Amino acid sequence: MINKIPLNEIDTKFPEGIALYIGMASFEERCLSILNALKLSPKYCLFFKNVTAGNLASKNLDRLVKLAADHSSVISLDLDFPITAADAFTKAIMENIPSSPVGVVLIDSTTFTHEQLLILLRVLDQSHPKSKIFVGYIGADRYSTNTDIENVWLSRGVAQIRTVLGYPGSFAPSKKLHLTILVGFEHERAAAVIEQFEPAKLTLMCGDPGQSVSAGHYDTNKRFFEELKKFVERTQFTQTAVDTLYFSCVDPFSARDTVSQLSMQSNDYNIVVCPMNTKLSTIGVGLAALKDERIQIAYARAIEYNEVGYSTPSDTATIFEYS
Amino acid sequence: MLSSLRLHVYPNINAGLSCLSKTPGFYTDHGERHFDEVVRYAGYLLENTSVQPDSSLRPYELYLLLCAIRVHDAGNIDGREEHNKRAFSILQEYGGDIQRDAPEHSLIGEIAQAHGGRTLNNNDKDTIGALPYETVVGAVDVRPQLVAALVRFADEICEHSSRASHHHINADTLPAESKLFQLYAKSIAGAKPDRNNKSFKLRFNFDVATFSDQYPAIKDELGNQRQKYLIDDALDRIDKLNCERVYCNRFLLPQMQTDRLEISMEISKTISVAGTNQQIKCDERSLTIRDKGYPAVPRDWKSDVSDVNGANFAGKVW
Amino acid sequence: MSTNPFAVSSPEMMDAAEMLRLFVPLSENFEIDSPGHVFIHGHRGCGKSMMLRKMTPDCMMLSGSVALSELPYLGLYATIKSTDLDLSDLDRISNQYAGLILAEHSLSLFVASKALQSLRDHTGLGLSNRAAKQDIENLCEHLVINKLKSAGANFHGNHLNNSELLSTQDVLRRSINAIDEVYGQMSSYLRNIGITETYIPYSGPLVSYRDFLFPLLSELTQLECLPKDRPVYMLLDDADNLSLIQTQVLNNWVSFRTGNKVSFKISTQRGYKTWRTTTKQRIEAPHDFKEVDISTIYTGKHSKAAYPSWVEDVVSKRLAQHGIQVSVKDFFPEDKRQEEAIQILSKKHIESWDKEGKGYRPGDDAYRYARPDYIKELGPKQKRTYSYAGFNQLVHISSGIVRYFLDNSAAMFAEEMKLRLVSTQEKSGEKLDHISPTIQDAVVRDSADKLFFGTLDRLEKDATDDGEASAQQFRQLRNLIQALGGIFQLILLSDRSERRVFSIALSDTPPDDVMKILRLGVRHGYLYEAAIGTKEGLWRTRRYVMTRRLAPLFKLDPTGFSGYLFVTTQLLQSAMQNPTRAVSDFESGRLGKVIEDAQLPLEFDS
Repeated sequence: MINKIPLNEIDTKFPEGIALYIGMASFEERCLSILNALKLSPKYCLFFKNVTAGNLASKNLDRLVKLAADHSSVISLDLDFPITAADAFTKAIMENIPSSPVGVVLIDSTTFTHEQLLILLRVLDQSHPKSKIFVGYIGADRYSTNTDIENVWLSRGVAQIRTVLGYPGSFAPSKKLHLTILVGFEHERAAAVIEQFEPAKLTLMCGDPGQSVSAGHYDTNKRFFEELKKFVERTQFTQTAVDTLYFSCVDPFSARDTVSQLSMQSNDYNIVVCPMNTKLSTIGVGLAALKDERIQIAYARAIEYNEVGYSTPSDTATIFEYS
Repeated sequence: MLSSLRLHVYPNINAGLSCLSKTPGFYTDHGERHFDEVVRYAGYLLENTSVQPDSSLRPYELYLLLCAIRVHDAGNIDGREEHNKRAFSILQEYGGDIQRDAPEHSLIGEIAQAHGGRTLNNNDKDTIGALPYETVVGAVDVRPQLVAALVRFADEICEHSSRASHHHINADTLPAESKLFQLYAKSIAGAKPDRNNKSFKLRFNFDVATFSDQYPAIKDELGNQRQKYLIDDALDRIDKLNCERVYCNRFLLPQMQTDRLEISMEISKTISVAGTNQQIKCDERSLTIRDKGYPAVPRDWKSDVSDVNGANFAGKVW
Repeated sequence: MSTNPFAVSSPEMMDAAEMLRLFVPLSENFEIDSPGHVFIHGHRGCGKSMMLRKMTPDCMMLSGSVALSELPYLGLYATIKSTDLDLSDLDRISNQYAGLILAEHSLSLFVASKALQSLRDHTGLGLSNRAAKQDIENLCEHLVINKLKSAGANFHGNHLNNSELLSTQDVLRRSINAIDEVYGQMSSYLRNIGITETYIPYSGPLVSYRDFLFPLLSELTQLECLPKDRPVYMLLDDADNLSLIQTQVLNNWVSFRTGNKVSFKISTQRGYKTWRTTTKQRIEAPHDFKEVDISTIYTGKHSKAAYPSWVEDVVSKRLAQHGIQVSVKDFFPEDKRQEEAIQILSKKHIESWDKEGKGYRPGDDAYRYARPDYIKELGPKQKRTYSYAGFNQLVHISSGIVRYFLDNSAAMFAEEMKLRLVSTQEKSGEKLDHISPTIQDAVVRDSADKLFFGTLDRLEKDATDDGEASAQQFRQLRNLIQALGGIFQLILLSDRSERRVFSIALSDTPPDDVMKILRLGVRHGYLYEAAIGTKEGLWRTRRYVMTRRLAPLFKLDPTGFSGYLFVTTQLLQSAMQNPTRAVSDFESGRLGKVIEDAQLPLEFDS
């Protein structure tokens, strides 16, 4: 069950406290929101950090460590080496979530990259920890806060498109490719993915505006939605065999079911899903792929991010039990 | 694996070789004893190699070596032609649990296969060079070229008179096409690496009675068959042995390399003295074949024994 | 068929009839149809895939009216998609023998499956008789099913029994399914190993090129129903999508000089990861393979008239296929007002040539200066913007890569359709007989923006000995392009005698870090490389032409150029760090010099 609660009430979800908090230090302020809001500090915190992260991320890491009051470890991850990320996650879980229950574990999914989050879920799936695991997420209130409306941007370029470790899919060389993209604001990355894959069948899954970021309130967000709409329309006119559908980008279980249903209808295809929407929907994609091994998940790594003005945090947290 | 090979494969190799080869014949022994001997000769090549790292084989490489030796010639059970390529399937059939790690299985097959034949690349004989120099199996570093070179050279030097059929030679009942290599095998009185001197000693004992005739040689690639004197065939085989020495040295560690061949030939004849046959030594030749001189201009070692040739020996009065 | 005549359609999804309708031969014959391995390089969209697909039996039978068994070779087409084979999970074993073995295994199975699919899908009715079915069935039984079983495959009765194999299609389907099943066992293994450090041995079946793929391919043309005793050409499209170790395995296969039986025709988008085999030997041209680069065909000496004419043919065919009965120039009209104004300026130059002329003929001056003068008159802020509409300009902007033209056209068509639907409520595409200049202009500008600001291709990992390109290097590339664009704009708006400069030539030899950025630019289509004679005339030096796709971004005239900007390392290094400063240094005459030389080969000088 998905709970969307004001950030300042987050403690109510964990009346007995949190045994272990897992989060990712990032240039985004959102990486601090949940830990900051918890009145009762977790017993222990694991903070992950990208080795190539800039000053903003380092500063936020320092703040996280301070909030953890010396009950924390920092583990580095390299965006270019998913294998080392998997090994780091495995080690962290084995050392900190033993086979007997230790209390509640909270994973703050907000600022992991989509790829890292998926690998973490895969490692959890393999490890079968006995503790109760919750996932938290803080949405963004506004995006591209340091630009005018004409020049909004979140990320630029595509460094590499690769499969996510642990989700290779089950391809048959004789089948054609069905590519499904959960499109977010970074539709240029989506265009690069489509160009790269040249699928026989393409499905664009767009987040239901009514359920996602506050589209109605801020002009920059509106701009993103307009650009996204143009991209979808252009793709429909310029590609063959394009389907579009809306999905919930705030309910991972609903996203899971949508993706699962799509894959069941694509028995004659090799299935690739590329999640580029919210982390919650990415978790949904991961859940679907864990259930249906035919699904391959691909990730398009950006070259650079608008670190200075990527987003401002909302004051609402989404919490759910991961199972 | 070994017990399975001993039970089902080794006992039938000689028969398979004789009957199923494109050129049927009475081949020298390729049965169980040959495989044991190759293991023994591989052991000779590893003598005195230090226990320091990278001076000898690692334990896992030793395992690969032994497995590869055990199957390298097993493909002869289905005939001589391309027998080396059947190592993989022999392993699959009789290798037991080896198949539980298919890459390891494949690696042993590749190493075994490299002891002969040619690569797919334009009939290239550099089968060892086609293997990786270094790789990892599980968490263990392995040097496939090194292991393959040991298999190949051990097999090459593992020749001696016990592989010949003395009965059929003496009774002169061998098929004509089989006489040359049987006589050659019989003439090898001793073959042993001398690790202290990094040499390989090969001792021949020729009976002059074998010099006078020419025997059918193995058909060449075009299917031509010529007649050859035994002594000429021996010299050609020594030449081939030297080529193999030089070739395998490229891949062997310095402590395992063989710098030279020390060949000795004792030539004797059988005379009847008071009703009993006695061997009288007529001549003795020895030579050393080593890498000498500027590499681009290989020294022709045969010029050191220029009078040692078939025509000369056939016409000589001993 | 899509309603958009320019919609992206992969050649693998086209049938032979559609291929022949759309295919226009390139103006140069690269002779890739003789035995022997060939690498075909070219930027995305320059026609490589069409070229390979055209070599399959159905296209050749249709175009030559020849029976299958009479073809000069058997071409089998296989396309390699981005994540077909290159899986992150394989990184776990990439330095292990298992990685090498599984790379060979997966590639052998993949190519075998694709080869049989191509045999099934690209031979028309050539194999539909009983004798052919029997031959194919025997071959598949012997060289696919039995081989896979000997390799350790256990088929769990999921396939058709022999009695149910009613046609050649069924026979091939059975073998394809068998291969797919064995391939799937490897996928299951990968799923388990990717996520854990613990060594897990692979215990499934294993095949290799030598034991499985080569015998299968080479035996195909021993059958009476196929081109007997002729070579088999395995047409591999987009080999950039292989991982490093898979590329090494493919290089092993190329090093096997089996051209008389099996040849590989391999296309790449200039991102082929290595030329080394698994034993670290290099494969070399011409000993091991032949190499052609078809993207240069239309950026080099053939570009003068051949490319525009070729694009015209390509576009005409597409319009005709969609029932649009207008010429390409009418379909992509120019901005009339702008062209009239330019005509007026042309006349002025012709009239004043006697007194002030710089060219040999009046027409030379009109051609060289009229358009640049028009752009100059618009002023730097361009209150009235220059329009890039018109077939001629669009062709030039596509920079020798037809895909860029088609991509832009598809977007234009979509925009125009949307506009028509809104204004007229008409749904029929046949009513569309032109794209308005406004839309043409907007789309190419948008593409230029995307190319510069957003759409950068994936980083190359160990593509050659250059090593990894980093985010910083991409930024340096962007700075360089920005500086060059700014400098070219200055030149265009100046009073120099030659103002349409679109390229640089190196007057010295830059260090490795600068060359790396230039090569990065070439690899990703921002720059094209050629060689010209030096000023001293002693030897040749490198020339880099900026892609005209960026002309709208820098307000440049895309329709032609002559002259080069000779640059020093100093200018390049300055440009890579600080484009604004580099432009102002050029303006003050400190760095770089425009060299006009009408005797050097020109591009698009129509």
